[in-house]
Amino acid sequence: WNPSFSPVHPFTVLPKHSWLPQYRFTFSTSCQQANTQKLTHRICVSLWAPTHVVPHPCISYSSVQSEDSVLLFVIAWTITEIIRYSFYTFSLLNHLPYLIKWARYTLFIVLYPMGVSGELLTIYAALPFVRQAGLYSISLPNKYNFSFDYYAFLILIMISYIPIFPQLYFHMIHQRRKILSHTEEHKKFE
Amino acid sequence: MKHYEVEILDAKTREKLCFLDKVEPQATIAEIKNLFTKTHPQWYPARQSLRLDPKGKSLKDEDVLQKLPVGTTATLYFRDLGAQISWVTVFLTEYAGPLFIYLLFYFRVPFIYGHKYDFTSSRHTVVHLACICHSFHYIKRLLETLFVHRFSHGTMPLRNIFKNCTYYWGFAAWMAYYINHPLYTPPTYGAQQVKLALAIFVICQLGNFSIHMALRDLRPAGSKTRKIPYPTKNPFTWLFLLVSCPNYTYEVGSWIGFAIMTQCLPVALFSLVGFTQMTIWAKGKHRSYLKEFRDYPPLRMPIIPFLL
Repeated sequence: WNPSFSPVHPFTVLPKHSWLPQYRFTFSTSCQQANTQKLTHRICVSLWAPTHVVPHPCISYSSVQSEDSVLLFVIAWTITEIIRYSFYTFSLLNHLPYLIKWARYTLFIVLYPMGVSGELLTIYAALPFVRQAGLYSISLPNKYNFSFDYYAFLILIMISYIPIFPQLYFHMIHQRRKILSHTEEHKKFE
Repeated sequence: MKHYEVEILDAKTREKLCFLDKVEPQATIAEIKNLFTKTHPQWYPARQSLRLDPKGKSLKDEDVLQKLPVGTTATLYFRDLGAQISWVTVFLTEYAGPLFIYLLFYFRVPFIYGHKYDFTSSRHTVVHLACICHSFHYIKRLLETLFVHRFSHGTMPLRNIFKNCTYYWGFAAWMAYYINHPLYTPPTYGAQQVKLALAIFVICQLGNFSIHMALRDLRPAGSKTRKIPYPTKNPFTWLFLLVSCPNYTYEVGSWIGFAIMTQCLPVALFSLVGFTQMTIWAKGKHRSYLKEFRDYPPLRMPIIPFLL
């Protein structure tokens, strides 16, 4: 099974700066389709709006790629991004259908937990490979007197989801209440 | 003599918080803040921001009521700045940490490195030298905080102490870990590299201290006056010809020296982050100087001569 990323999906190098609170700005870098014929390591570093750095060691061990967890977050974030960018586009054109606004501020309730679970499971699945290959790690002694353990770093990343995700999620819920009820009132007066 | 009446409203809710009558025309904002604290003791003067306009700039403590553009009934708007802590306290805490923490690593206190290394000493001269330089640097900072600096503001928001200490203490631990590590690799170019780097470090420390003394002499004790700093007889202060904030220039130089001396990447990263922050401060300071003084020397750049 080889996930081919939909061309519609904005997995492109785009620094996207959100107007939302600073911990929610995003970029997505190109996570090139891992070519199973080429044995190359790739790191998909996607900083997701509204989340955080999630290194996906998309090592071309097909076992990691074929994890269901990858499918999980790809689907979740694809749908999220399509809706989100439509929202921005229509907003800029001053013609925002209520459906898009509703979708953006409602579907996240399911999509965010899906995406985050997918990411966490993927990182977890990749851990043994990282440990075994010593991926992106450097140990002492070396002339720069520096060391980095990518395995430990990934563990820290996973732990950081615990404080960060609830804040983000509840912020979106709060925004939803504010923005969708605001629209309800406007509709009443039309 | 006509007395003034002062009413203080909340800047956000416009709620009437306090009404002061029979206020002297020569009363300062500081005195009004003290009167306000009497009715609202939880808002001590340091956390009060009083302004003429709810969205305007804060009035200064030295401003006199009579000189403000108000009628005999003055309306002031109040904003709570949040819990405050004195600059001196913050500086002492954030500098004492690195001094102490570095020594824990230097003496290889247990549970940091493997047990066979507990309380052992490095065989590299540069490691001992680095400890002396690092400790000297922070002792100097502590002494300057106590005896040299004259602060414009008494306090800053309380949350800053947590932010600042995390930065200083965190980086100190990170650097100290590698420099004092049993597997530390001394500089590639040996004693030559260490000597050159040490010279840079010492010169920049002297420079930094000279600038701090020069700035102190610009301002009489207890005052908050601001003047354009100029070079003095001390050659280290001649950097004022080219730069608004030579203290920051020398500070960056010191850390670059330390990085070359230890050949340690975390030190280089610490220097880079510090440089970024100091550049932001220097640019702000430079802009304030330009705004406040018409005759500000045009050749000066904020932090790096001719460049930045």
